[in-house]
Amino acid sequence: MLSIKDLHASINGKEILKGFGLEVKPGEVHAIMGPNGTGKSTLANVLAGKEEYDVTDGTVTFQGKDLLDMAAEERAREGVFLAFQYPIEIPGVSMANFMKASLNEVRKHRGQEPLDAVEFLKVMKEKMRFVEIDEKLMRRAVNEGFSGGEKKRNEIFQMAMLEPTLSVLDETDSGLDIDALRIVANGVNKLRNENNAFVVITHYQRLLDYIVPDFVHVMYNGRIVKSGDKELALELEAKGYDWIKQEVDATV
Amino acid sequence: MMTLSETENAIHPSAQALYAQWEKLATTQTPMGIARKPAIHSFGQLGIPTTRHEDWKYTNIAAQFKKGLVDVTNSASTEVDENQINLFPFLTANRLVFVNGHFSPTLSDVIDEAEGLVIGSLAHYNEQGHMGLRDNYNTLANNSTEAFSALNTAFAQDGAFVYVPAKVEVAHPVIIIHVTTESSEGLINTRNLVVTGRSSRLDIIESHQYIGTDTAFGNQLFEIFVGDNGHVNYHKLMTDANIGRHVGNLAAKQGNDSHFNTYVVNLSGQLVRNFMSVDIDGKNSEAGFYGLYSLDGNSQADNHVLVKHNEPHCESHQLFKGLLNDKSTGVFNGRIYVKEDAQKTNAFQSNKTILLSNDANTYTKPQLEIFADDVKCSHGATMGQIDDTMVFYLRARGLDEAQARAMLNQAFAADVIEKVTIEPLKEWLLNQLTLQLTR
Repeated sequence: MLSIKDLHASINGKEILKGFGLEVKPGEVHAIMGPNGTGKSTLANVLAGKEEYDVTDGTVTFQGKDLLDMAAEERAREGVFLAFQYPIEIPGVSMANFMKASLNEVRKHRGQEPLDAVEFLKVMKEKMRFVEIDEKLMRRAVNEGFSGGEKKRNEIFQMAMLEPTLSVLDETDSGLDIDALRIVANGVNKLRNENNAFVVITHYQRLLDYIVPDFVHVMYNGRIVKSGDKELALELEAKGYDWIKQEVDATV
Repeated sequence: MMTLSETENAIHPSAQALYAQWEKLATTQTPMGIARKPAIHSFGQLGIPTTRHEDWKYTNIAAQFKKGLVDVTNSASTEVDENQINLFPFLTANRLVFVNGHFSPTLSDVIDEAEGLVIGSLAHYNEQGHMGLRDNYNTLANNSTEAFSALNTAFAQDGAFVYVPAKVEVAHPVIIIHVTTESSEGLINTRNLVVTGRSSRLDIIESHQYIGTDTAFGNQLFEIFVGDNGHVNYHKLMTDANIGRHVGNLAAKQGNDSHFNTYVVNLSGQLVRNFMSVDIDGKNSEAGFYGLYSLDGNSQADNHVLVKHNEPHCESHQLFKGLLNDKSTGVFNGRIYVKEDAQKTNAFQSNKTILLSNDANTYTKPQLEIFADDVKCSHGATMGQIDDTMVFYLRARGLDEAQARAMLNQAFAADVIEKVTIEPLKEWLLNQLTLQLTR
């Protein structure tokens, strides 16, 4: 489904991704862990199409298409979803209007009829229950005045609405208390199926207790330096990242 | 008393043609007729304002009248094709339609009735000698300082007159439609007067519509009296095509415990200049001025607001927002004046502008003049561009860049329209805004 090969990307002339590679198949959950400043969020933003990043080398193929050739909105319509690390507040744009416009764009791209107000409301209510989000929030402006936990749940709600093929969760667990973490993880687990895939970027192993990954990758210095299964996450939790850094630095 | 010809030497050169034109105009011993002579005299002293005048610094009005300024109200056609005007069919309302400054009985329709309630033509009630008109007409106009007010008083023939007696709540809005069809460099003068009594309620919707190209310049003067415990909402709309030039003066006065709100929406207009002032002459009263100007092309909107807090325990709000595209220009000048005795005044003012193009201009000047010592007043102005991280967030959910920007522009502008309390009008304005932003 997603094939990233030798990806190099920089921002303001500074190279962050230095030969990143990853293969994701339908039905898989990949966790990407690693110390601060190793390029995890850069990877998420490059996949979503943020234009401030320059891709200098490598390829990203998504369902046989060149992802890097697409504008951000085309990627979203094709089924790539980024759950933002810091969801931004957008005063004046109501959640409901925003989601309706967004969902109908995605549906149009899939060759489906747009939903009318009544149908949309029905879908919205169903998905809100999914992430246990308060209906009142839907009448507010996008993320405006939402608590940290509500913002993260709102990302998962949007994911549930758009039903993406590939979801990239950028530190969705950061700043969440244990209850919110459970709700977010439940939302993801209910969305998992054999046709979609998740790339979960996280600092902490605890999220992976709830969202059990098929693969765990350790990212350091702009690329993956170690891969394993969920046991690797537990090992990292116990030993920290220093041993990996030493391993990598020794081979350079 | 000096005759006009004796004072001619003192007449400002820019006023001479109009002065001569005025002398040929018949005057009557009515409130409107009596006010004309001192008004033309004032105009003679003032002349047409130039950009050296502080209040006209960014609006070169004299450049609009290269061939010299003339009044065409008195010679203009009074006919219009009904299909070309927006009569706001979606609103159940009283309608007063004026064509080139003259009342159109056939297009007008008054549905609300109450003892003493008047909704009609100013000229008609002027001839009738209506007491509410006689006592109030021209008492708020700033003819000695505002050249266009003086001109209006000297030349205007007609406009709306609404008189709401005490305790009458007018059930439906009064829609005043001023249509300009005359193609000319001259001025069409229109004059409105609204007097509301104690504990009355009135919604006014005023729409300025221009048909054809190179239409005459509209010059309006509107006087509004809000009685004790009265509620008046005034909406001034210029929403159709990108034509029309207009100068409007609003002079209002409020009594005790009263509420007066003004909503100005400019989605069009080559040049629109509004000078709006209110004297809050009663305690525990509230005034609000809410404005939106969303402009493109070479349009210019110039809004001046003056709120005078003359009594204690009152509150005022000013919120003006501009969305400026292409080579458009927005000007905002808001003044809050708090008199020495007006303690416990709360007065707030804000002007926010988004520049959508590198060629758009905005000028903003908030002013506070406070002579009381126990007040809460604030003002603020921001100008900037749409935040790119917001655009990216929306694009990451499948909206293209144009859709994302339109949505953000709409959101920025909509909160002014959201303050409108007449639901169908609010919906209609939001739609007009969407149309304008996506055209």
